[in-house]
Amino acid sequence: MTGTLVIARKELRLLFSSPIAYVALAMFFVVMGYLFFGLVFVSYTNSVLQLQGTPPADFDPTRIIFTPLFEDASFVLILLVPILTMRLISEEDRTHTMELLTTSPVTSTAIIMGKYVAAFLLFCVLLAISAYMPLSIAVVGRLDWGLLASLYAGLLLLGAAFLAIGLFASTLNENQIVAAAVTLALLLLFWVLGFAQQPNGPTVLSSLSFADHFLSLTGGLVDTQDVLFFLSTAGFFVFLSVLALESRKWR
Amino acid sequence: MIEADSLSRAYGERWAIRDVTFQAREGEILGFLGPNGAGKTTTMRILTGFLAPTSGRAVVAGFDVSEKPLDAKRHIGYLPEVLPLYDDFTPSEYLTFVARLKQVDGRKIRDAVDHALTVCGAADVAGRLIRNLSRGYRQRVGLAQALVHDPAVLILDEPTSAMDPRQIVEIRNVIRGLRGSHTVILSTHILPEATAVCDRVIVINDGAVVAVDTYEQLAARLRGSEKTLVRVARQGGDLAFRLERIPDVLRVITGSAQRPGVTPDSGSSREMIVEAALGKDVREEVARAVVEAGAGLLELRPLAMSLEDVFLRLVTQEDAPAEETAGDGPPAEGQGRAG
Repeated sequence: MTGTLVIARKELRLLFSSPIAYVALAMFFVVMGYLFFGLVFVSYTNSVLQLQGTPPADFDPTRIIFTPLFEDASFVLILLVPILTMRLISEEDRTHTMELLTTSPVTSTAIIMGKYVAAFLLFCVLLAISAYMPLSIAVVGRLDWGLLASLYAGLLLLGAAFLAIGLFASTLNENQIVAAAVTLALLLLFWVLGFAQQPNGPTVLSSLSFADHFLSLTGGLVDTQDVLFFLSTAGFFVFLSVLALESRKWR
Repeated sequence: MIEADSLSRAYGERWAIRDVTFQAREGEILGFLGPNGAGKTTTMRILTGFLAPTSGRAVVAGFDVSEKPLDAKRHIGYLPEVLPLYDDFTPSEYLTFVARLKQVDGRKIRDAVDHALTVCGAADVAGRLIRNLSRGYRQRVGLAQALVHDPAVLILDEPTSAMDPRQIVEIRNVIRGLRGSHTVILSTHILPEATAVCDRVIVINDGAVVAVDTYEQLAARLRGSEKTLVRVARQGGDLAFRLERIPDVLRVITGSAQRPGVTPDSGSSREMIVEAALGKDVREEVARAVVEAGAGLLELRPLAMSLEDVFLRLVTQEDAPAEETAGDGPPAEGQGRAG
């Protein structure tokens, strides 16, 4: 446990001393800010204009602005996560510092978990800063906090699974570009998996698809099935990363 | 303290090391000597638990590296061949991280870091970014990293590579200072380093241990006879005959015999090598014989094998190292010194 924390702490310190964290944050906020602007001043304004008078009971600004915003955020994440995770293990391989870590009294699990915790904390910082968007709306209007919590839960879970996949890809190759490319390919694949679903066929593909599980969360429905799907995906890929690291001793 | 028990490691079809067996006693400095690609790094990586052996067993500080890796690793300080440094850290930050990683008690970390930096002579760059340090200082920070948790066992893969001669002397002094309190294995291909620092030498070639011994005994074992170089002012007529009559003298090689074609009265004919039976010192008798022949003694010294000779002998002619015959030309050491 202490090993995990020591490595997570070092990783965060290194993440923020390199430009990668800042580039990722900037990229995220530029795109998200633009999407938010568009949703507030175009979609929301249009729907208000169409109302002509008092809004009906089911009029919900949160659903009009934030549900599509978070759905779009998932695409931003598909591009962002490879950048955040590509260096996690690859960089240690390239600089040969992995030899220091694996010959220290820490388990492979602690090394992988330390890396994962660091990446996840960075992602949490990202989400925490993005809270300015709902908060700025809350100042001038009423928000559906339940739906908003469900949206954030969805993004956190999606991020947890994405980061685990990125971490795994990073254990495979010491080249960061290759790690990023593999991550991107895996994320896209898991995202579009449900597209090939036959309307009346077995639901294997859509139940493995990130998109289908995520869209039910952005609709405001927190189903344990979806929560478990993301958590077990994250756990599975973290486990694979530990195996990949452990197996190097034998290669 | 360190026990390697028939360690073997294969990379695919190729064996990097085969049946490497040796022990290091507590407090000893063991030199690991071999040409590039001999398996030094592979052996060290197995001892530190970075690689698993294909077969065999490594025990460090009483713990089997495969079965109790964490316990063994707690007692190991390891300096890999490629320095494991983070360029974006300063040496103090880096060593603090390593100390935490090696489970140094939280209150002692600061002292441990300061001590390691001072011992390795990197204290004056403690606040600079590692990426801006010269190669010599990076090497020192790397060594400090291996020492920071005061481990009982130190495994150093080429600790003085890329340093200038003055720095090499400093680092060797640091390593010598560890004798007695730490068990050290260091690999090197710089031969004088092994004689300067190590108590015993392991010579490894092509993945197998060729010899484990002190340097003096290695040299003695490879030497078929005691050789003494004699240089005289004049070539007395019966000098060679007199020398050959001394008890225990096996043969006398004169300069002209050494290099066929050189005329007897040329300079080299006044040099000869007296070979005596192993363990016999014939210098006194040789001196007397030269004086009695009226040849004018100029020089008389024992020819020791240099470590280079030992090393080359071990890694090139493993099969028949000790026996040299007159017909096969001069022995390697005679050529080097007398020629």
